[in-house]
Amino acid sequence: MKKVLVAVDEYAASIGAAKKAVELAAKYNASLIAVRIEEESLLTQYEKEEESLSVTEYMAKVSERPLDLIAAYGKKQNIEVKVIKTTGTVASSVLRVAEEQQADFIVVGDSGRKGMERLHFGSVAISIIKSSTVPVIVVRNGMVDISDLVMMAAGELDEALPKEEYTAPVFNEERYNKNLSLSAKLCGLFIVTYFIAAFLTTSEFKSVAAFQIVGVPVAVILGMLVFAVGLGVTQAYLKRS
Amino acid sequence: MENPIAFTIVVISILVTFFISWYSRRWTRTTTEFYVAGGQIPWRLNGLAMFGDYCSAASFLGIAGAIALAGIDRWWIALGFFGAWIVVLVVLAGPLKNTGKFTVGDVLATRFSGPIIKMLAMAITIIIGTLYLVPQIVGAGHLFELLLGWNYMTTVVVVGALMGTLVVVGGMRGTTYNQALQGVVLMLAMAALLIMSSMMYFGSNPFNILTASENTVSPVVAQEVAKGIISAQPDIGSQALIEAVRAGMTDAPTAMTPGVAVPGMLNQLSLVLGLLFGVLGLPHILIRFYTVKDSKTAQKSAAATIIGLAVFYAMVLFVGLAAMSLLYPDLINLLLAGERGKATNMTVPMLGELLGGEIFMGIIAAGAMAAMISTSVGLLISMTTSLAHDVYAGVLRPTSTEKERLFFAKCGAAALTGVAIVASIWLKDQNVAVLVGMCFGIASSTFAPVLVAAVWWKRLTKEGVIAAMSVGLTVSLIFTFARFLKETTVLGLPVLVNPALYGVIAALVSLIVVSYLSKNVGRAEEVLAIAHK
Repeated sequence: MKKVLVAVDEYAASIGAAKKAVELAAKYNASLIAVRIEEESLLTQYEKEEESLSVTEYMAKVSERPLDLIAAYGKKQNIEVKVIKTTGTVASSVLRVAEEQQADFIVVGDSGRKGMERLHFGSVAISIIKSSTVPVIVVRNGMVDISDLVMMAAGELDEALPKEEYTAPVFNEERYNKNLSLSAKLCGLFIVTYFIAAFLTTSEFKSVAAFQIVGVPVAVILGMLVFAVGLGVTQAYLKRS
Repeated sequence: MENPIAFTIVVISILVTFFISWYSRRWTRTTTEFYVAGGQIPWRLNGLAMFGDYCSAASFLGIAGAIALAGIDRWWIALGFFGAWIVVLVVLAGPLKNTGKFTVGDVLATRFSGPIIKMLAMAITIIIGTLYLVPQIVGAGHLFELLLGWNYMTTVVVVGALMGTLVVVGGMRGTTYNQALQGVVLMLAMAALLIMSSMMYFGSNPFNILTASENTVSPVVAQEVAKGIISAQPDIGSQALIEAVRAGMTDAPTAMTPGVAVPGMLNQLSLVLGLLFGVLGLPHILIRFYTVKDSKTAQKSAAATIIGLAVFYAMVLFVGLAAMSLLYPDLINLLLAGERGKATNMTVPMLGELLGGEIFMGIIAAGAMAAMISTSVGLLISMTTSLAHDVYAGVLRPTSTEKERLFFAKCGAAALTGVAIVASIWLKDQNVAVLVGMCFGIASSTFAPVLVAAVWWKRLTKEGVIAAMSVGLTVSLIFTFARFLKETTVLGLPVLVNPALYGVIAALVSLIVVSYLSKNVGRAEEVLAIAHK
């Protein structure tokens, strides 16, 4: 049996793509894999505002739990839907899941952003197209009428399924203290070396700076020492962090 | 045209840069998505790209030129540029990579909401960005002046307008390949300058350059005495002039004596402080940490970059001092002719011409030009994006259309370029590395403290951030402009070579005091939890 993979998020473009994917799967007697990628980063206030342009009042219920909605819609169309949630960077995770699940083709939505917006946000669709080893179908925002899904989300879905919950990250004091101690020690070591070297290379200490060790003035040796300590600190940090 | 071959090399290199940029352009979505690049770029290439990104005109042209004029004091600019990277890696890279944010505005907006911080961060970004643009245009202006023989004013207007146009018409974006190529060119050119000058003039031993410098009076100190000698013997050679000047100024400081360019400890402290913490406030550099797929690769790249920087900045000292020895009469003549800007910023291409003729000079000029264009375009793009989204769409006209925002942003880019061009004419005689150092000073007095506090300090409050950024900005700007206007004291305080000492202290005190007096810590738990997971 063929497998169709669709990437779903909380915005209209991907819901349209998911609807199309369900229909395609039904038509070609394929199964559907709906994948949702949780980006591992906090969005800024601005990004939220900007992205939420597409999450309107109208879409609110859909955006709450898009995967459940697609699963329910697939069930209605009598196709098998597998739901996968994962975290990572969006395009790469979609491609990774597609490979793992041996999807035959991928369906993605495209925001239809242009100009500066495109420049600012880039495009998952284009990233996927460029690196995918299987065919990709791109569904532009607004191409598919999703009003029935919106109705569905507002009605029957509410009673049928539990809510997807957002869990706030928990502050790990031990981890924080460990990081703080490592950074403070290594940064402190470098800063002390750096400032001592800088102090000894001033006009107040010019006799020190001019003093020679094996023919090389102390001013040059101190600078080289800054490089050496810097490199050492880098290695130590990379090893222990 | 004075140097047709070198000019042709520069033009070809610019075209190649455009081609690579066009060919490898790949739009990616949001800040964390660099899969296409990430999957294919090995850490060595990424390390080189980070190196190329960081080494702009200031590192390549500015530091060696400044050393050639004033001696070892100026090496501290290089040491500061290097040290800044260590501090960024150890203090900020980890938390920022975890949060997925790497511009100041983004990090602050993640923790605190509201328009004031956003607008303040935006204003500082634009001020630093515009000031950072100045050394790029000054460098490019002198370079074209040297290559084509145009006068500086014309060159600056043409070059500045060209850079602005690139952005307005939606020109190039720095790509990993371009940056890596640039990194290779800059590194090899610096190595070639060191090796060729050692072999041709210093008995194949670079340490002989140091020995020679111990008896050389720096050109800025020597110019008056040298003037008499040169007017008596116009064709005097470099070595003869160095010896004659030394004989006339036995007590003068030499190239290896500290205190010539940075007089005294307070100045030195202010300079090295500003350089060390400045990059924390310019974390666009960190974007490259995200171009690799996993943290191990990112760390390897960072280590490669840091090794590269250490080697490069160590070579810069020798090349700068070699240039002083070999170009002594030329540098002094330029200083006497009032062309300080050309003397200090064009030392490296001039040394290239002396060692390897016009072709070598062309390669050096091409590397420098690529560095200046990519830095300028990157700065302008980030500033205009910020103008379009934060200022116009965010505050001025939230209901505006895409087209209107774009138009506003392009007008903004044109206006900022105009300001930078005027400033470049005014600051013609400044060394580009010194100008970049000033930007570092402002960044370290504004963004650096709040950014570090935002990911490390729970008690930081919104009011503290606002106070620190506004006080730090005001103080650092006052002392920056006092320096440019050649004032010696402001409010009884001596004006130092860099504004950082006063700016950083003022910002830190405001940050701590106001934070303890106020309560709004924003999403402190959440941000710190993600930053230190």
